[in-house]
Amino acid sequence: MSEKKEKAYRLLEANNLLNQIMFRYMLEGHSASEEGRLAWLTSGFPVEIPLAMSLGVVYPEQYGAVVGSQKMGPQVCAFAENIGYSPELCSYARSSIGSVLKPEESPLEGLPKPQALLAGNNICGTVMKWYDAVSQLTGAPVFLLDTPPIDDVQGDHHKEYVKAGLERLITFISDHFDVELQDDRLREVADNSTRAIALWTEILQSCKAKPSPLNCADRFLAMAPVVSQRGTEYILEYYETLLKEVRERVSNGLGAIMDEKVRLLWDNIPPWFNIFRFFNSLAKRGVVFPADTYTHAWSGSFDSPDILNAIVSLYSNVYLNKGIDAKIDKMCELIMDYDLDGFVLFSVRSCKRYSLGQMVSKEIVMERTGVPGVIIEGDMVDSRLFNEAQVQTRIDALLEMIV
Amino acid sequence: MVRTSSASAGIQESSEEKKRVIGYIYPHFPVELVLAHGLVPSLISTNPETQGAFENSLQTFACGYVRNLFSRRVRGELSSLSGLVFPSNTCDSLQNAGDIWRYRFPEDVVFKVTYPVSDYGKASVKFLAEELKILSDRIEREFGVPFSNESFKAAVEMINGFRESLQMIYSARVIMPSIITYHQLMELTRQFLTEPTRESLDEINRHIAGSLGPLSTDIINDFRELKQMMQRMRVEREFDVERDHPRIAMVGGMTDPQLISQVLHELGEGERFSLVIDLLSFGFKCVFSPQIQFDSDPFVEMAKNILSTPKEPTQEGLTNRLIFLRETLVNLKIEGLIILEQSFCDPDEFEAPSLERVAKEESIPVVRLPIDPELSDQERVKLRLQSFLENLLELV
Ligand code: SF4
Ligand code: SF4
Repeated sequence: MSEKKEKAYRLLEANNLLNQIMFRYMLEGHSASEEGRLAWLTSGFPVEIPLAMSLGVVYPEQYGAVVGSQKMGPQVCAFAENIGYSPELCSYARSSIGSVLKPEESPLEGLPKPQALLAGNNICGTVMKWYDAVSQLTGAPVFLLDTPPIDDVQGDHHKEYVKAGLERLITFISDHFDVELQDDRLREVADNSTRAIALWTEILQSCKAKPSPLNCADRFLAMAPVVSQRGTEYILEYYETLLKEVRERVSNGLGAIMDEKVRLLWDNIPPWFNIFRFFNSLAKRGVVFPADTYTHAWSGSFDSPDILNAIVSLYSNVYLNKGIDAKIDKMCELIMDYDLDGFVLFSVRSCKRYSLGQMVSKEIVMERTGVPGVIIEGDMVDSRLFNEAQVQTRIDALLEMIV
Repeated sequence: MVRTSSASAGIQESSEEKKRVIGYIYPHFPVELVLAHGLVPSLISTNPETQGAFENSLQTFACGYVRNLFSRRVRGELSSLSGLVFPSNTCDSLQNAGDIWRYRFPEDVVFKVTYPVSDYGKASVKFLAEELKILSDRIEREFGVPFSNESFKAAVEMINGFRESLQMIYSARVIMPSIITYHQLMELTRQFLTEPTRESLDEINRHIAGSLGPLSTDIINDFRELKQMMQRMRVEREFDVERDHPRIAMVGGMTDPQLISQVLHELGEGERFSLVIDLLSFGFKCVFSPQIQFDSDPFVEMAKNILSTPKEPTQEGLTNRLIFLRETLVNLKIEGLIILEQSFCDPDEFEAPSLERVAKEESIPVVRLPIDPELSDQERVKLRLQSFLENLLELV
């Protein structure tokens, strides 16, 4: 395997394939919009249903990441702020509203126009408000799939309620797009999702190796297809290729960074506007992040005789839809399983759902695992909210506790 | 569960003679359920006097309401409560608050009720009825007091009485604001929310008899018609309204109406201008819940009732809320609109631009007022309101 070196960091060859499928995803989104069958989806929405019903899908959260990484967050968010959306709101929402208002001044000229907005509140309550706002601007109808948060075990009444929502979703899509859901097509799509998630899980777990074959930024980029194109067949080749490359790295003892000294856990979305600079500068100091809570959110399987029940169960039980206990358990589990030396909690001002609670999480995770942690503050898209010097000081303090 | 015994600390068991008080946060919490267990429900509102004691538990971008709640708990202001019910599936700030609370104050008795966001008809009723049953079972286990059908019936009769009376007076003063000031109306509403007793209901009824008694049947019929419309969140026709002063409306979410009514009172509400209607969670929306029925299982009836109350910004239904706002502005001849936004409240801040747009489309002057429960910038709030009102008085 040929290997390009860039400073303290190894590049992945599978990235070429990743670029190709992301390009295809973009083109398909545009043609679906032109054909009047494009839905915007939240990242935790059961995409298998719209996909099996021949809708094209795009993900505004992913678009937010593009706005962030092109360092256009402040500018695009300001378009939304200028018509009255508070700068205190989620910057994914602000950048998506901003790009609807001024596509010509936004990256990729905005997302293609939606004919439906499908929101799932298993990631947060914000998405319903956000999609309502987009609906006001675009005229596309909103469907909310309500998956109330679960404390521990999903009760029967909860399952029945979410299933009623799924049935309404199918009716909503049928009515709006004049299509029927075919069982065999749904099975095919669900099988593709199961395979993609299984490959993804294997890739994540390979990072238990020392040195870790992937760093945080690698995973954040590589997760894009499993978020936005799970259910399609063409992403499987990418994940198979990536898994092969990752396995080769592990068997050759090659890490994502050149000289791994410290292994940390990352919690929350990354600061997209300086994702490479942030993780690469730490890589130079021998710091790698073999695990993070965010990319581990896509897990599970639809391998069940009743796919709708499997969808109810999988999408209700994502740990993002559970309380702080589940999040703390997840962090402790990752720290133990991946043999990590400490953790960084990114307190994202945009995202109250994941960030509020980090203060108690930090104390409890430290108590349970015995490793130190630190909270850094900022935002994933809006670079105005990121104080680099302060972040640096806190990370330095963490590293001093470890090395 | 061990409870704190220190009077300066948190929620604790009340003395034997006194009834246990259960605090609640969600505007449409079924207080009759708590009364049916022989306990006293009490709305936990914000306290402007209590500031900055939340920092150990929450980041500064938690909403103002949740921050104030934690500060109140840390300062020992909730010590008269025997338990506190958190809502789940409403907004992201509150979603975390209950969990953080359990870790921070493990000695407190904390309950949770999950509300459906979507209206899937029977499926939503069934889900919520089950949630309420779970709460009831937990209350029984915790305090050894079973749900009593007789107490439930008595509670429902009383709550229905409150709603009937308050809805009447609310509707009456929309048409004829001189009947009672907004500040006085909020005092009455507050009694219902914090201490729903027979005595406070009698007091409200005395007020109504005094205010509405001398009016003609035609006028009373108008009040009744408007009341029925507002129960459905519609105002489908124009009403002949009193226009002695500029007529102002106020819209928003969980901002404490009492807090803002005090500021408005100081600025001359009732004398220079009339705040004829609020569409706030702890004002109009709490009052305009329909009557609770006895047709079937009590938990199903409570669930049906909660699901037919005016929808909150945390729920689906923005389009209907905007239609209602437009009809209110036009058909009730509103001349100025105040939009309240609780600091760092996503539901308020997401809806505000749409609400503002409706007012502008109807050429009604509008002011958006970011606010925090501590009114830490009270002077600024007052100044902004003052200048809005001055401009309005010049225009009208
Ligand atoms: S609030 Fe958080 S979870 Fe919700 S869309 Fe924004 S970043 Fe995502
Ligand atoms: S609805 Fe708004 S004010 Fe109420 S708790 Fe949630 S964020 Fe806070």
